[in-house]
Amino acid sequence: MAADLVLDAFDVTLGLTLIGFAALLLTTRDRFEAIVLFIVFGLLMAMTWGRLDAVDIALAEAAIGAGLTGAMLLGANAALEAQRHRAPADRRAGGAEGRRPGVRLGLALLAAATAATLAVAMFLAPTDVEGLRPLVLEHLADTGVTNPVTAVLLNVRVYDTLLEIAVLLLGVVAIFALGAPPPPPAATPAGPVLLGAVRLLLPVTVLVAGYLLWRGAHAPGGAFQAAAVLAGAGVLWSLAQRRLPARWGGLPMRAALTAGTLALVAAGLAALPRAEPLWTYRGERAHAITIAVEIVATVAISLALLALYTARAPAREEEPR
Amino acid sequence: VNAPTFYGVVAAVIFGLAAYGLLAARHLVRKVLAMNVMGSSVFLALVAMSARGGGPDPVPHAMVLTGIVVTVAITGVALALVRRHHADTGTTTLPEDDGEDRDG
Repeated sequence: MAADLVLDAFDVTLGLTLIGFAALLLTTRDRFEAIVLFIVFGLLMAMTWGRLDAVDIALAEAAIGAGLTGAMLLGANAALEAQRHRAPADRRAGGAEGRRPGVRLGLALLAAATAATLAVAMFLAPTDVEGLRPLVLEHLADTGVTNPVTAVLLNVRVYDTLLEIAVLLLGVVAIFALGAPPPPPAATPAGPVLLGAVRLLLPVTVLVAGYLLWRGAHAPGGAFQAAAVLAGAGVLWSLAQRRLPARWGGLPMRAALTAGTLALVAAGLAALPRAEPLWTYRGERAHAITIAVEIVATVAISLALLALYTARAPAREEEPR
Repeated sequence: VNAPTFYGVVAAVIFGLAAYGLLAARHLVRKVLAMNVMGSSVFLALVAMSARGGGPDPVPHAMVLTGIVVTVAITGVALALVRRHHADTGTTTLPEDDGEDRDG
């Protein structure tokens, strides 16, 4: 692996491009442009993850970091601009340019000092580290899967994943509680191209998500990547101004949203009758539990991610007439 | 300089840029944007530092995956708060930032 760590021209180009895009997106005067640059930055980050042998993260970054976060930012920005009845010049405002030069200089010096300190720390950190990789590989056979990252996420450190899904659920609850302002009136009905694309793409995305989920047991992929792809399909669906039947919006939707957290809790409690510590499962049993939890979690996470995008509680069943 | 250290320095520079963006920007959507860039730089530092051992380390990778999902949850809540703030007050900046020329 040592040869792999040698710095080459590709690394230098990629690293400098990352810095360049970060600087551009943080300083550009146009907010819409900044968000588009952020999406490009996310895709460049995904390339960097690939270079650093972190394919699982590359998949998640491309789907969640660049795709879904970008869609959320664009949606929120459009909603804000639709609500303000002002000159279009508004979208250029709100950068650092309105601040006094002295304040900007002070902030810049502070940020530069932070960056310099961190950069020095990168050189001071010990280089002969082994990390936790040998430990994970040693116990990999017990976890029921052969992809080390999935083994860490759903077995060795499944507690992290439980809390992560709980945070996601909490975020969705907070968003529902905040109650989004009424949606801006649809500018134009969805065109035939979008509707046709949705019709063609939806089945394919579901297939891709299923494949990523299944593949996660032995290769890069898994519940989060699959859920992100499904949520992307949901964003397309919602862009095409399609709505789920209202009778799904109440209890069924809320049950599905919480199912991921509940499944992980159940997986932990399953160790109780065997008098083992919580979240202990090994071998054949581990494989079954991991796959079952991943399937339920995929549905719950994709719905939660979609709820973050729509930023609105799903419509409940209409009042009985 | 090997590749992980180089990416670590890249992460440090991006962190600095994003910290400036977070503090200097007044529009709240820009602050959310800067926070996301800052998060990416932390993830990059974490994975770059762990790449110096004998091959990819699955534990930091899993932590970054967790971090990405938590970040998207934070972003969603932050944007919902921004929209609510805008609906209630008509501004997209914080009162603390309104002293200088307002962006309306």
